[in-house]
Amino acid sequence: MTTVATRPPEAPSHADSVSGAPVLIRGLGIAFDGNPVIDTLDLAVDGGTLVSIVGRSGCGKSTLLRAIIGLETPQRGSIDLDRDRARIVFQEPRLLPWFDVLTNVALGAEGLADAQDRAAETLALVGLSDKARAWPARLSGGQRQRVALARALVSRPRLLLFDEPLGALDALTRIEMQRLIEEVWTRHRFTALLVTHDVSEAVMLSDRVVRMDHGRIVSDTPITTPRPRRHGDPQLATMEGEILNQLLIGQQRADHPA
Amino acid sequence: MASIAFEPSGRAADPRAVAARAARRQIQASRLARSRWTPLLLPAVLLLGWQAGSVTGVLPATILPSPAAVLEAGWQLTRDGTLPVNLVISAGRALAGLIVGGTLGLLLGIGTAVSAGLRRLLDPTIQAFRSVPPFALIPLIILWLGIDEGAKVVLIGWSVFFPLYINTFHGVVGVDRGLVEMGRVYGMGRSALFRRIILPGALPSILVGLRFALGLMWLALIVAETIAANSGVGYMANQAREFSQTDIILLTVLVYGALGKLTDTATRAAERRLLRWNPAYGRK
Repeated sequence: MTTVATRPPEAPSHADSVSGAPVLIRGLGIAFDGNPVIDTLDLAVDGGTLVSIVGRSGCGKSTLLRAIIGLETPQRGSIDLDRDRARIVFQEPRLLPWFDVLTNVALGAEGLADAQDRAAETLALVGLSDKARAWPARLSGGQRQRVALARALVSRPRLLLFDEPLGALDALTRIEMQRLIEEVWTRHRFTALLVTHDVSEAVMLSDRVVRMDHGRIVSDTPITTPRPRRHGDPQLATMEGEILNQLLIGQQRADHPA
Repeated sequence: MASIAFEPSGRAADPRAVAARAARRQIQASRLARSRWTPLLLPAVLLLGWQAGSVTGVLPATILPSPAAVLEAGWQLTRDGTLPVNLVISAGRALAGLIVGGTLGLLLGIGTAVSAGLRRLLDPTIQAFRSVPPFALIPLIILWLGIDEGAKVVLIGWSVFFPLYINTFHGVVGVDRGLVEMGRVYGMGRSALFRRIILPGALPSILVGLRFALGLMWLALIVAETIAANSGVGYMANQAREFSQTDIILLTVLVYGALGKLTDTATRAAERRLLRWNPAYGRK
Protein backbone atom coordinates (compact mmCIF):
# COMPACT_ATOMS: atom_id res chain seq x y z
CA MET A 1 0.00 0.00 0.00
CA THR A 2 1.37 3.39 -0.95
CA THR A 3 1.34 5.63 2.04
CA VAL A 4 1.88 9.31 2.39
CA ALA A 5 5.20 8.71 4.09
CA THR A 6 6.79 7.07 1.04
CA ARG A 7 6.46 10.25 -0.98
CA PRO A 8 9.64 12.33 -1.12
CA PRO A 9 9.06 15.64 0.65
CA GLU A 10 10.48 17.58 -2.31
CA ALA A 11 7.92 16.12 -4.70
CA PRO A 12 7.50 18.18 -7.86
CA SER A 13 4.60 20.56 -8.27
CA HIS A 14 1.28 18.82 -8.82
CA ALA A 15 0.64 20.79 -11.96
CA ASP A 16 2.61 18.34 -14.09
CA SER A 17 0.52 15.40 -12.94
CA VAL A 18 -1.03 13.44 -15.77
CA SER A 19 -4.26 12.39 -14.12
CA GLY A 20 -5.67 15.51 -12.48
CA ALA A 21 -7.92 17.68 -14.64
CA PRO A 22 -7.77 21.46 -14.25
CA VAL A 23 -10.91 23.46 -13.50
CA LEU A 24 -11.45 26.96 -14.81
CA ILE A 25 -14.45 28.97 -13.66
CA ARG A 26 -15.06 32.46 -14.99
CA GLY A 27 -17.70 35.00 -14.03
CA LEU A 28 -20.01 32.37 -12.57
CA GLY A 29 -23.42 33.61 -11.44
CA ILE A 30 -26.22 31.56 -9.90
CA ALA A 31 -29.38 32.94 -8.34
CA PHE A 32 -32.28 31.15 -6.66
CA ASP A 33 -35.55 33.06 -7.05
CA GLY A 34 -33.64 36.22 -7.86
CA ASN A 35 -31.31 35.96 -4.83
CA PRO A 36 -27.70 35.64 -5.96
CA VAL A 37 -26.00 32.62 -4.38
CA ILE A 38 -22.89 32.67 -6.54
CA ASP A 39 -21.91 36.16 -7.63
CA THR A 40 -19.37 36.65 -10.45
CA LEU A 41 -17.05 33.97 -9.13
CA ASP A 42 -13.68 33.22 -10.70
CA LEU A 43 -11.63 30.21 -9.71
CA ALA A 44 -8.76 28.41 -11.40
CA VAL A 45 -7.63 25.07 -9.99
CA ASP A 46 -4.48 23.41 -11.31
CA GLY A 47 -4.69 19.77 -12.29
CA GLY A 48 -3.80 17.39 -9.47
CA THR A 49 -4.05 19.93 -6.63
CA LEU A 50 -6.21 19.62 -3.55
CA VAL A 51 -8.11 22.83 -2.87
CA SER A 52 -10.44 23.40 0.06
CA ILE A 53 -13.33 25.81 0.05
CA VAL A 54 -14.33 27.17 3.45
CA GLY A 55 -16.97 29.64 4.49
CA ARG A 56 -20.01 30.13 6.67
CA SER A 57 -23.22 28.27 6.01
CA GLY A 58 -25.04 29.83 3.10
CA CYS A 59 -21.94 31.36 1.51
CA GLY A 60 -22.55 29.38 -1.66
CA LYS A 61 -19.79 26.79 -1.36
CA SER A 62 -22.05 23.74 -1.79
CA THR A 63 -23.88 25.42 -4.66
CA LEU A 64 -20.54 26.00 -6.34
CA LEU A 65 -19.74 22.29 -6.11
CA ARG A 66 -23.18 21.31 -7.38
CA ALA A 67 -22.74 23.67 -10.32
CA ILE A 68 -19.37 22.12 -11.15
CA ILE A 69 -20.83 18.59 -11.23
CA GLY A 70 -23.85 19.78 -13.21
CA LEU A 71 -26.62 19.70 -10.60
CA GLU A 72 -27.20 23.45 -10.80
CA THR A 73 -27.46 25.46 -13.99
CA PRO A 74 -25.57 28.75 -13.87
CA GLN A 75 -27.25 31.87 -15.23
CA ARG A 76 -23.95 33.49 -16.10
CA GLY A 77 -20.31 32.61 -16.65
CA SER A 78 -18.55 29.45 -17.65
CA ILE A 79 -17.13 26.29 -16.09
CA ASP A 80 -14.44 24.50 -18.09
CA LEU A 81 -13.82 20.89 -17.18
CA ASP A 82 -14.22 17.34 -18.43
CA ARG A 83 -17.41 16.33 -16.60
CA ASP A 84 -17.19 12.73 -17.80
CA ARG A 85 -14.28 12.14 -15.50
CA ALA A 86 -15.66 14.10 -12.54
CA ARG A 87 -17.19 12.53 -9.44
CA ILE A 88 -18.72 13.85 -6.24
CA VAL A 89 -18.90 12.56 -2.67
CA PHE A 90 -21.91 14.00 -0.88
CA GLN A 91 -22.26 14.78 2.80
CA GLU A 92 -24.57 11.77 3.16
CA PRO A 93 -23.22 8.51 1.71
CA ARG A 94 -26.27 8.12 -0.59
CA LEU A 95 -25.74 4.39 -1.00
CA LEU A 96 -28.57 2.37 -2.51
CA PRO A 97 -29.81 0.34 0.47
CA TRP A 98 -31.17 -2.48 -1.73
CA PHE A 99 -27.77 -3.31 -3.23
CA ASP A 100 -24.89 -4.82 -1.34
CA VAL A 101 -21.71 -2.84 -0.79
CA LEU A 102 -19.85 -4.22 -3.80
CA THR A 103 -22.73 -3.48 -6.19
CA ASN A 104 -22.93 0.04 -4.80
CA VAL A 105 -19.25 0.60 -5.52
CA ALA A 106 -19.60 -0.89 -9.01
CA LEU A 107 -22.29 1.72 -9.78
CA GLY A 108 -19.45 4.23 -10.03
CA ALA A 109 -17.96 2.29 -12.94
CA GLU A 110 -21.19 1.49 -14.74
CA GLY A 111 -20.71 0.66 -18.37
CA LEU A 112 -17.15 -0.56 -17.93
CA ALA A 113 -16.59 -4.23 -18.66
CA ASP A 114 -14.46 -4.80 -15.58
CA ALA A 115 -16.70 -2.86 -13.19
CA GLN A 116 -16.91 -5.72 -10.68
CA ASP A 117 -13.16 -6.29 -10.56
CA ARG A 118 -12.48 -2.61 -10.21
CA ALA A 119 -15.10 -2.35 -7.48
CA ALA A 120 -13.47 -5.15 -5.50
CA GLU A 121 -10.08 -3.54 -5.94
CA THR A 122 -11.30 -0.12 -4.84
CA LEU A 123 -13.14 -1.61 -1.89
CA ALA A 124 -9.83 -3.11 -0.78
CA LEU A 125 -8.24 0.33 -1.12
CA VAL A 126 -10.66 1.77 1.43
CA GLY A 127 -10.19 -1.28 3.64
CA LEU A 128 -13.66 -2.79 3.37
CA SER A 129 -13.09 -5.98 1.35
CA ASP A 130 -14.74 -8.05 4.07
CA LYS A 131 -17.95 -6.02 3.75
CA ALA A 132 -18.40 -6.61 0.00
CA ARG A 133 -21.59 -8.64 0.45
CA ALA A 134 -23.04 -6.68 3.38
CA TRP A 135 -26.09 -4.43 3.14
CA PRO A 136 -25.32 -0.72 3.60
CA ALA A 137 -27.76 -0.62 6.53
CA ARG A 138 -25.39 -2.89 8.46
CA LEU A 139 -22.42 -0.52 8.24
CA SER A 140 -21.36 2.28 10.57
CA GLY A 141 -21.52 5.89 9.39
CA GLY A 142 -17.78 5.97 8.75
CA GLN A 143 -17.85 2.72 6.80
CA ARG A 144 -20.73 3.97 4.65
CA GLN A 145 -18.80 7.10 3.79
CA ARG A 146 -15.79 4.96 2.86
CA VAL A 147 -18.02 2.96 0.51
CA ALA A 148 -19.20 6.25 -1.00
CA LEU A 149 -15.56 7.24 -1.46
CA ALA A 150 -14.83 3.91 -3.15
CA ARG A 151 -17.82 4.44 -5.47
CA ALA A 152 -16.41 7.85 -6.43
CA LEU A 153 -12.91 6.45 -6.98
CA VAL A 154 -13.78 3.32 -8.92
CA SER A 155 -13.95 5.06 -12.30
CA ARG A 156 -10.53 6.72 -11.70
CA PRO A 157 -11.89 10.27 -11.84
CA ARG A 158 -9.69 13.16 -12.88
CA LEU A 159 -11.67 15.53 -10.68
CA LEU A 160 -13.18 14.61 -7.35
CA LEU A 161 -15.54 16.92 -5.49
CA PHE A 162 -16.19 16.51 -1.78
CA ASP A 163 -19.25 18.24 -0.36
CA GLU A 164 -18.58 18.19 3.40
CA PRO A 165 -18.11 14.43 3.28
CA LEU A 166 -16.94 14.18 6.89
CA GLY A 167 -19.45 16.56 8.43
CA ALA A 168 -21.56 13.84 10.01
CA LEU A 169 -18.73 11.71 11.40
CA ASP A 170 -17.31 11.57 14.92
CA ALA A 171 -13.89 13.12 15.58
CA LEU A 172 -11.79 9.94 15.37
CA THR A 173 -13.52 8.58 12.27
CA ARG A 174 -13.04 12.01 10.75
CA ILE A 175 -9.30 11.89 11.20
CA GLU A 176 -9.15 8.37 9.74
CA MET A 177 -11.16 9.51 6.74
CA GLN A 178 -8.94 12.57 6.28
CA ARG A 179 -5.91 10.28 6.16
CA LEU A 180 -7.66 8.00 3.70
CA ILE A 181 -8.61 10.87 1.42
CA GLU A 182 -5.06 12.21 1.47
CA GLU A 183 -3.71 8.73 0.79
CA VAL A 184 -5.89 8.02 -2.24
CA TRP A 185 -5.30 11.54 -3.54
CA THR A 186 -1.54 11.03 -3.23
CA ARG A 187 -1.83 7.75 -5.06
CA HIS A 188 -4.17 8.75 -7.89
CA ARG A 189 -3.40 12.45 -8.22
CA PHE A 190 -6.86 13.54 -9.23
CA THR A 191 -7.78 17.18 -8.78
CA ALA A 192 -9.76 17.54 -5.55
CA LEU A 193 -12.14 20.24 -4.39
CA LEU A 194 -13.12 19.88 -0.77
CA VAL A 195 -15.96 21.91 0.70
CA THR A 196 -15.74 21.91 4.49
CA HIS A 197 -16.81 23.75 7.63
CA ASP A 198 -13.70 22.59 9.39
CA VAL A 199 -10.78 24.96 8.91
CA SER A 200 -8.27 22.61 10.56
CA GLU A 201 -9.31 19.87 8.14
CA ALA A 202 -8.90 22.26 5.21
CA VAL A 203 -5.44 23.35 6.33
CA MET A 204 -4.34 19.80 7.08
CA LEU A 205 -5.28 18.41 3.65
CA SER A 206 -5.03 21.20 1.11
CA ASP A 207 -2.55 22.86 -1.18
CA ARG A 208 -4.76 25.94 -1.10
CA VAL A 209 -7.60 27.11 1.10
CA VAL A 210 -10.12 29.32 -0.61
CA ARG A 211 -12.56 31.30 1.52
CA MET A 212 -16.00 32.18 0.19
CA ASP A 213 -18.37 34.85 1.40
CA HIS A 214 -21.67 35.93 -0.12
CA GLY A 215 -21.09 33.96 -3.29
CA ARG A 216 -17.60 35.27 -3.99
CA ILE A 217 -14.08 34.14 -3.27
CA VAL A 218 -12.64 36.56 -0.75
CA SER A 219 -9.31 35.00 0.10
CA ASP A 220 -6.96 32.40 -1.25
CA THR A 221 -4.27 31.00 1.05
CA PRO A 222 -1.61 28.59 -0.20
CA ILE A 223 -0.56 25.95 2.36
CA THR A 224 3.05 25.12 1.64
CA THR A 225 3.80 22.94 4.67
CA PRO A 226 5.39 19.75 3.28
CA ARG A 227 3.52 16.44 3.52
CA PRO A 228 3.09 14.25 5.45
CA ARG A 229 1.59 16.77 7.83
CA ARG A 230 1.09 16.25 11.52
CA HIS A 231 -1.95 17.21 13.55
CA GLY A 232 -0.79 19.99 15.86
CA ASP A 233 1.99 21.23 13.57
CA PRO A 234 2.62 24.85 14.69
CA GLN A 235 2.85 26.17 11.14
CA LEU A 236 -0.53 24.63 10.27
CA ALA A 237 -1.98 25.92 13.52
CA THR A 238 -0.90 29.47 12.60
CA MET A 239 -2.54 29.15 9.18
CA GLU A 240 -5.68 27.78 10.75
CA GLY A 241 -5.79 30.67 13.20
CA GLU A 242 -5.42 33.23 10.42
CA ILE A 243 -8.18 31.75 8.29
CA LEU A 244 -10.51 31.36 11.27
CA ASN A 245 -9.86 35.00 12.13
CA GLN A 246 -10.76 36.08 8.61
CA LEU A 247 -13.96 34.09 8.82
CA LEU A 248 -14.89 35.71 12.13
CA ILE A 249 -14.03 39.24 10.96
CA GLY A 250 -15.97 38.68 7.78
CA GLN A 251 -18.93 37.74 9.89
CA GLN A 252 -18.56 40.85 12.10
CA ARG A 253 -18.55 43.01 9.01
CA ALA A 254 -21.68 41.31 7.79
CA ASP A 255 -23.34 41.80 11.19
CA HIS A 256 -22.33 45.45 11.55
CA PRO A 257 -21.99 46.95 8.08
CA ALA A 258 -20.04 50.21 8.32
CA MET B 1 -31.20 -0.67 64.16
CA ALA B 2 -28.42 -0.67 61.68
CA SER B 3 -27.99 -4.35 62.44
CA ILE B 4 -31.26 -5.22 60.65
CA ALA B 5 -29.85 -4.04 57.39
CA PHE B 6 -26.87 -6.36 57.75
CA GLU B 7 -28.80 -9.36 59.11
CA PRO B 8 -30.45 -11.35 56.37
CA SER B 9 -32.29 -13.44 58.99
CA GLY B 10 -35.44 -11.27 59.42
CA ARG B 11 -37.75 -13.16 57.04
CA ALA B 12 -40.46 -10.60 56.37
CA ALA B 13 -38.08 -7.79 55.54
CA ASP B 14 -35.54 -9.88 53.64
CA PRO B 15 -35.20 -8.11 50.30
CA ARG B 16 -33.68 -11.19 48.68
CA ALA B 17 -36.72 -13.33 49.43
CA VAL B 18 -39.00 -10.62 48.01
CA ALA B 19 -36.90 -10.44 44.88
CA ALA B 20 -36.94 -14.22 44.50
CA ARG B 21 -40.73 -14.36 44.76
CA ALA B 22 -41.06 -11.60 42.18
CA ALA B 23 -38.69 -13.47 39.89
CA ARG B 24 -40.74 -16.68 40.25
CA ARG B 25 -43.89 -14.80 39.36
CA GLN B 26 -42.15 -13.36 36.33
CA ILE B 27 -41.07 -16.81 35.17
CA GLN B 28 -44.64 -18.10 35.51
CA ALA B 29 -45.97 -15.15 33.52
CA SER B 30 -43.42 -15.50 30.79
CA ARG B 31 -44.11 -19.20 30.33
CA LEU B 32 -47.53 -18.22 28.98
CA ALA B 33 -45.99 -15.38 27.02
CA ARG B 34 -43.25 -17.51 25.50
CA SER B 35 -44.94 -20.77 24.62
CA ARG B 36 -45.63 -21.39 20.97
CA TRP B 37 -48.91 -23.09 21.90
CA THR B 38 -50.37 -20.05 23.66
CA PRO B 39 -52.03 -18.57 20.54
CA LEU B 40 -53.71 -21.92 19.84
CA LEU B 41 -55.21 -22.18 23.32
CA LEU B 42 -58.33 -20.10 22.71
CA PRO B 43 -59.23 -21.65 19.33
CA ALA B 44 -58.80 -25.11 20.86
CA VAL B 45 -61.12 -24.29 23.76
CA LEU B 46 -63.73 -22.78 21.41
CA LEU B 47 -63.54 -25.76 19.07
CA LEU B 48 -63.87 -28.27 21.89
CA GLY B 49 -66.79 -26.32 23.37
CA TRP B 50 -68.48 -26.22 19.98
CA GLN B 51 -68.03 -29.94 19.43
CA ALA B 52 -69.28 -30.66 22.97
CA GLY B 53 -72.31 -28.43 22.39
CA SER B 54 -73.15 -30.31 19.19
CA VAL B 55 -72.70 -33.75 20.70
CA THR B 56 -74.90 -32.94 23.70
CA GLY B 57 -77.54 -31.35 21.47
CA VAL B 58 -77.26 -27.86 22.96
CA LEU B 59 -76.40 -26.60 19.45
CA PRO B 60 -78.92 -27.97 16.90
CA ALA B 61 -77.21 -29.28 13.77
CA THR B 62 -79.48 -27.17 11.50
CA ILE B 63 -78.18 -23.97 13.11
CA LEU B 64 -74.57 -24.95 13.75
CA PRO B 65 -73.36 -28.40 12.75
CA SER B 66 -70.43 -29.82 14.69
CA PRO B 67 -66.84 -29.18 13.59
CA ALA B 68 -66.60 -32.86 12.79
CA ALA B 69 -69.59 -32.55 10.46
CA VAL B 70 -68.03 -29.56 8.67
CA LEU B 71 -64.83 -31.53 8.24
CA GLU B 72 -66.83 -34.47 6.96
CA ALA B 73 -68.60 -32.26 4.40
CA GLY B 74 -65.24 -30.89 3.30
CA TRP B 75 -63.90 -34.39 2.81
CA GLN B 76 -66.95 -35.49 0.83
CA LEU B 77 -66.84 -32.46 -1.48
CA THR B 78 -63.12 -32.87 -2.00
CA ARG B 79 -63.52 -36.53 -2.93
CA ASP B 80 -66.28 -35.94 -5.45
CA GLY B 81 -64.30 -33.04 -6.96
CA THR B 82 -66.85 -30.29 -6.24
CA LEU B 83 -64.65 -28.30 -3.88
CA PRO B 84 -61.39 -28.43 -5.91
CA VAL B 85 -63.16 -27.49 -9.14
CA ASN B 86 -65.00 -24.54 -7.61
CA LEU B 87 -61.90 -23.49 -5.69
CA VAL B 88 -59.89 -23.28 -8.90
CA ILE B 89 -62.67 -21.30 -10.59
CA SER B 90 -62.84 -18.82 -7.70
CA ALA B 91 -59.08 -18.44 -7.47
CA GLY B 92 -58.90 -17.90 -11.23
CA ARG B 93 -61.47 -15.09 -11.05
CA ALA B 94 -59.62 -13.45 -8.17
CA LEU B 95 -56.32 -13.68 -10.00
CA ALA B 96 -57.75 -12.32 -13.26
CA GLY B 97 -59.21 -9.32 -11.42
CA LEU B 98 -55.96 -8.75 -9.55
CA ILE B 99 -53.89 -8.85 -12.72
CA VAL B 100 -56.16 -6.46 -14.62
CA GLY B 101 -56.82 -3.97 -11.82
CA GLY B 102 -53.43 -4.33 -10.16
CA THR B 103 -51.41 -3.80 -13.33
CA LEU B 104 -53.46 -0.75 -14.18
CA GLY B 105 -53.04 0.65 -10.67
CA LEU B 106 -49.30 0.03 -10.73
CA LEU B 107 -48.77 1.63 -14.14
CA LEU B 108 -50.98 4.65 -13.50
CA GLY B 109 -49.47 5.11 -10.03
CA ILE B 110 -45.99 5.22 -11.54
CA GLY B 111 -47.15 7.43 -14.40
CA THR B 112 -48.80 10.06 -12.23
CA ALA B 113 -45.88 10.05 -9.79
CA VAL B 114 -43.26 10.54 -12.50
CA SER B 115 -45.09 13.00 -14.74
CA ALA B 116 -46.65 16.17 -13.36
CA GLY B 117 -48.71 16.54 -16.52
CA LEU B 118 -50.18 13.06 -16.22
CA ARG B 119 -50.88 13.70 -12.55
CA ARG B 120 -52.89 16.84 -13.28
CA LEU B 121 -54.69 15.07 -16.08
CA LEU B 122 -55.64 11.85 -14.28
CA ASP B 123 -55.33 12.06 -10.53
CA PRO B 124 -58.38 14.26 -9.74
CA THR B 125 -60.63 11.95 -11.74
CA ILE B 126 -59.15 8.80 -10.21
CA GLN B 127 -59.60 10.26 -6.71
CA ALA B 128 -63.22 11.07 -7.53
CA PHE B 129 -63.84 7.51 -8.69
CA ARG B 130 -62.15 6.23 -5.55
CA SER B 131 -64.85 7.73 -3.39
CA VAL B 132 -67.44 5.52 -5.12
CA PRO B 133 -67.79 2.28 -3.13
CA PRO B 134 -67.06 -0.55 -5.58
CA PHE B 135 -70.22 -2.44 -4.62
CA ALA B 136 -72.36 0.55 -5.57
CA LEU B 137 -71.42 -0.32 -9.14
CA ILE B 138 -72.92 -3.81 -9.00
CA PRO B 139 -76.30 -2.97 -10.58
CA LEU B 140 -74.54 -1.08 -13.37
CA ILE B 141 -72.04 -3.88 -13.94
CA ILE B 142 -74.80 -6.47 -14.11
CA LEU B 143 -76.76 -4.27 -16.52
CA TRP B 144 -73.77 -3.81 -18.81
CA LEU B 145 -71.96 -7.11 -18.51
CA GLY B 146 -74.58 -9.50 -17.20
CA ILE B 147 -73.42 -12.00 -14.61
CA ASP B 148 -70.61 -13.46 -16.68
CA GLU B 149 -66.97 -13.78 -15.77
CA GLY B 150 -66.33 -10.30 -17.18
CA ALA B 151 -68.56 -8.72 -14.56
CA LYS B 152 -66.67 -10.41 -11.72
CA VAL B 153 -63.28 -9.47 -13.11
CA VAL B 154 -64.40 -5.84 -13.44
CA LEU B 155 -65.68 -5.74 -9.85
CA ILE B 156 -62.53 -7.33 -8.45
CA GLY B 157 -60.27 -5.26 -10.70
CA TRP B 158 -62.02 -2.05 -9.65
CA SER B 159 -61.54 -2.96 -5.98
CA VAL B 160 -57.81 -3.77 -6.20
CA PHE B 161 -56.97 -0.85 -8.48
CA PHE B 162 -57.15 1.90 -5.85
CA PRO B 163 -54.90 0.57 -3.09
CA LEU B 164 -52.23 -0.29 -5.65
CA TYR B 165 -52.59 3.04 -7.43
CA ILE B 166 -52.33 5.13 -4.27
CA ASN B 167 -49.51 3.20 -2.63
CA THR B 168 -47.47 3.02 -5.83
CA PHE B 169 -47.91 6.75 -6.31
CA HIS B 170 -46.79 7.55 -2.77
CA GLY B 171 -43.94 5.05 -2.96
CA VAL B 172 -42.51 6.59 -6.12
CA VAL B 173 -43.01 10.18 -4.96
CA GLY B 174 -41.35 9.34 -1.64
CA VAL B 175 -38.14 7.94 -3.12
CA ASP B 176 -35.15 9.76 -1.59
CA ARG B 177 -34.32 12.68 -3.92
CA GLY B 178 -30.69 12.43 -2.86
CA LEU B 179 -30.43 8.92 -4.30
CA VAL B 180 -31.97 10.02 -7.60
CA GLU B 181 -29.54 12.93 -7.74
CA MET B 182 -26.65 10.56 -7.04
CA GLY B 183 -27.84 8.28 -9.85
CA ARG B 184 -27.93 11.20 -12.26
CA VAL B 185 -24.42 12.47 -11.50
CA TYR B 186 -23.14 8.91 -11.66
CA GLY B 187 -24.37 8.69 -15.21
CA MET B 188 -27.56 6.62 -14.98
CA GLY B 189 -30.01 7.05 -17.84
CA ARG B 190 -33.76 7.25 -17.32
CA SER B 191 -34.26 3.52 -17.58
CA ALA B 192 -31.43 2.69 -15.16
CA LEU B 193 -32.67 5.33 -12.73
CA PHE B 194 -36.09 3.75 -12.80
CA ARG B 195 -34.96 0.14 -12.46
CA ARG B 196 -32.22 0.63 -9.93
CA ILE B 197 -33.44 3.51 -7.78
CA ILE B 198 -37.09 4.46 -8.21
CA LEU B 199 -38.69 1.04 -8.38
CA PRO B 200 -36.72 -0.56 -5.51
CA GLY B 201 -37.25 2.59 -3.46
CA ALA B 202 -41.01 2.44 -4.00
CA LEU B 203 -41.25 -1.30 -3.45
CA PRO B 204 -41.99 -1.30 0.31
CA SER B 205 -44.97 0.96 -0.32
CA ILE B 206 -46.11 -1.02 -3.37
CA LEU B 207 -46.12 -4.21 -1.29
CA VAL B 208 -48.27 -2.53 1.35
CA GLY B 209 -50.67 -1.65 -1.46
CA LEU B 210 -50.61 -5.25 -2.64
CA ARG B 211 -51.57 -6.55 0.78
CA PHE B 212 -54.51 -4.16 0.96
CA ALA B 213 -55.45 -5.12 -2.58
CA LEU B 214 -55.44 -8.85 -1.78
CA GLY B 215 -57.82 -8.30 1.13
CA LEU B 216 -60.20 -6.35 -1.09
CA MET B 217 -59.79 -8.92 -3.87
CA TRP B 218 -61.26 -11.72 -1.74
CA LEU B 219 -63.96 -9.42 -0.45
CA ALA B 220 -65.02 -8.46 -3.97
CA LEU B 221 -64.88 -12.10 -5.07
CA ILE B 222 -67.21 -13.19 -2.27
CA VAL B 223 -69.67 -10.42 -3.03
CA ALA B 224 -69.58 -11.15 -6.76
CA GLU B 225 -70.07 -14.87 -6.26
CA THR B 226 -72.79 -14.49 -3.69
CA ILE B 227 -74.84 -12.13 -5.84
CA ALA B 228 -74.71 -14.04 -9.07
CA ALA B 229 -72.68 -17.06 -10.12
CA ASN B 230 -73.17 -20.57 -11.40
CA SER B 231 -69.80 -21.85 -10.23
CA GLY B 232 -67.19 -21.09 -7.60
CA VAL B 233 -67.00 -21.25 -3.82
CA GLY B 234 -69.69 -18.58 -3.44
CA TYR B 235 -72.00 -20.54 -5.69
CA MET B 236 -71.47 -23.59 -3.46
CA ALA B 237 -72.50 -21.51 -0.46
CA ASN B 238 -75.63 -20.26 -2.23
CA GLN B 239 -76.63 -23.75 -3.31
CA ALA B 240 -76.09 -25.01 0.22
CA ARG B 241 -78.34 -22.24 1.56
CA GLU B 242 -81.14 -23.35 -0.75
CA PHE B 243 -80.92 -26.84 0.68
CA SER B 244 -80.20 -25.68 4.26
CA GLN B 245 -76.82 -27.47 4.27
CA THR B 246 -75.28 -25.44 7.07
CA ASP B 247 -72.18 -27.65 7.14
CA ILE B 248 -71.31 -26.68 3.55
CA ILE B 249 -71.96 -23.00 4.23
CA LEU B 250 -69.57 -23.14 7.16
CA LEU B 251 -67.08 -24.97 4.97
CA THR B 252 -67.12 -22.19 2.36
CA VAL B 253 -66.56 -19.63 5.12
CA LEU B 254 -63.50 -21.60 6.23
CA VAL B 255 -62.26 -21.89 2.64
CA TYR B 256 -62.55 -18.13 2.08
CA GLY B 257 -60.72 -17.53 5.33
CA ALA B 258 -57.96 -19.96 4.38
CA LEU B 259 -57.57 -18.32 0.96
CA GLY B 260 -57.17 -14.91 2.56
CA LYS B 261 -54.66 -16.22 5.06
CA LEU B 262 -52.72 -17.99 2.30
CA THR B 263 -52.27 -14.89 0.13
CA ASP B 264 -51.40 -12.77 3.15
CA THR B 265 -48.72 -15.24 4.24
CA ALA B 266 -47.36 -15.39 0.70
CA THR B 267 -47.14 -11.60 0.46
CA ARG B 268 -45.39 -11.40 3.79
CA ALA B 269 -42.88 -14.00 2.64
CA ALA B 270 -42.35 -11.98 -0.54
CA GLU B 271 -41.81 -8.87 1.58
CA ARG B 272 -39.18 -10.60 3.67
CA ARG B 273 -37.42 -11.79 0.55
CA LEU B 274 -37.64 -8.60 -1.53
CA LEU B 275 -36.97 -6.20 1.34
CA ARG B 276 -34.24 -8.22 3.03
CA TRP B 277 -31.90 -5.26 2.65
CA ASN B 278 -34.13 -3.34 5.04
CA PRO B 279 -33.28 -4.03 8.70
CA ALA B 280 -37.01 -3.87 9.52
CA TYR B 281 -37.63 -6.99 7.41
CA GLY B 282 -34.40 -8.86 6.77
CA ARG B 283 -32.10 -10.89 8.95
CA LYS B 284 -28.80 -10.87 7.09
